[in-house]
Amino acid sequence: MTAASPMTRHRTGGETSAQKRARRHSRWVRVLRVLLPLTGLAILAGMVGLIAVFNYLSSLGLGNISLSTDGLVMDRPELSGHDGERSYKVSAVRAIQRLSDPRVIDLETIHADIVLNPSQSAQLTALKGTYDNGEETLTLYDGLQVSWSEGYTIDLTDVAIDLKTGAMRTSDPISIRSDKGHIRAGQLDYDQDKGIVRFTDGIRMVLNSALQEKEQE
Amino acid sequence: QTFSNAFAGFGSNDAEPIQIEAESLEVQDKSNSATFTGNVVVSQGESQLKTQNLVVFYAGSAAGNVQQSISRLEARGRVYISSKDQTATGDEASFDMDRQIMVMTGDKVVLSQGENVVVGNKLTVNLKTGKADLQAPSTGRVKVLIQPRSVQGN
Repeated sequence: MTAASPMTRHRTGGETSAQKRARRHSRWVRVLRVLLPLTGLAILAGMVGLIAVFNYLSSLGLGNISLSTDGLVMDRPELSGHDGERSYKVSAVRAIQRLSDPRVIDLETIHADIVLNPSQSAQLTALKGTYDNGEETLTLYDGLQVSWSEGYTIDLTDVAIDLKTGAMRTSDPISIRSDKGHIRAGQLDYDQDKGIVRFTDGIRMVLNSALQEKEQE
Repeated sequence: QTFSNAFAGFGSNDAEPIQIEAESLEVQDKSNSATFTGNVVVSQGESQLKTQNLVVFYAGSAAGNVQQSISRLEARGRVYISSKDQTATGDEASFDMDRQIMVMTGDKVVLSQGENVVVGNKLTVNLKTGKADLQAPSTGRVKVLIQPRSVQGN
């Protein structure tokens, strides 16, 4: 026997508007009974979250902290982390933590020291950058220069660095210069684990001859 | 058939910088090799190499002078080599920089100087002396085309 035959449902559909309003009202009450406490909890959690963020930030050795519209502004922050032989230390003149996502910090006038492995390190300086603590990525853009311990200087417009694997990727033309010559490429992609540097989008490379190098020394 | 040592210019003289252009380059630190792909053009002084794929093997890290540390070049795909008035075309070419020998192979290796054209399937050139030695396909013979006028010119 089917639970409810079409006939019976039809009859209940014919209730008066008053009954309908009543049912809607009771449903609204039921919703509110759950919603109100929840929002209370949410606000409380927000407060706790903010305090947690403050504690977390203070553990990072930050300068004084002030709250601004677009986020928490920190003066002279230093962020660092390490994983095995790879380590990074990022310092900036100003860091603004986004209120929308406390893990994302926008940085201004950044200096980053990245140790790729005991023999290789890179120093990056940039005017603007974004440090995502969740993904542990650092994107630097605007007036960027990278010097690599292997004696290379890299001029590029932006670079995205995965601080966990040391992989670097750029999207705009880059040039790498050293006394041995230089490379200009449309794009660079460096995968530290596999030890592969990929230049794509057209490359031009000049290898200095031994004579030229002597002149430069 | 005498050939000037035009090829001697290629790679063995380190007075001039080497310029390489290509669509992409992949440097593999682990195997000390760099692979250029896509309309690769390598030029040094008057010598030029064009190919679709070029793998450069360098010894150790490129700490010292990069040119000296290049031990071998492997070119594949429509290889064209020109130096002064001599050109050679084939499918593959490999340069052994230590022994300064270039070997070009292909089902039709064409070596030409001015209007003189010689066709074989394997060309071996000593980059120091410029001596070029062309072998014929095992079945046929080396085809040589010498323009009469040019013989007096040599």
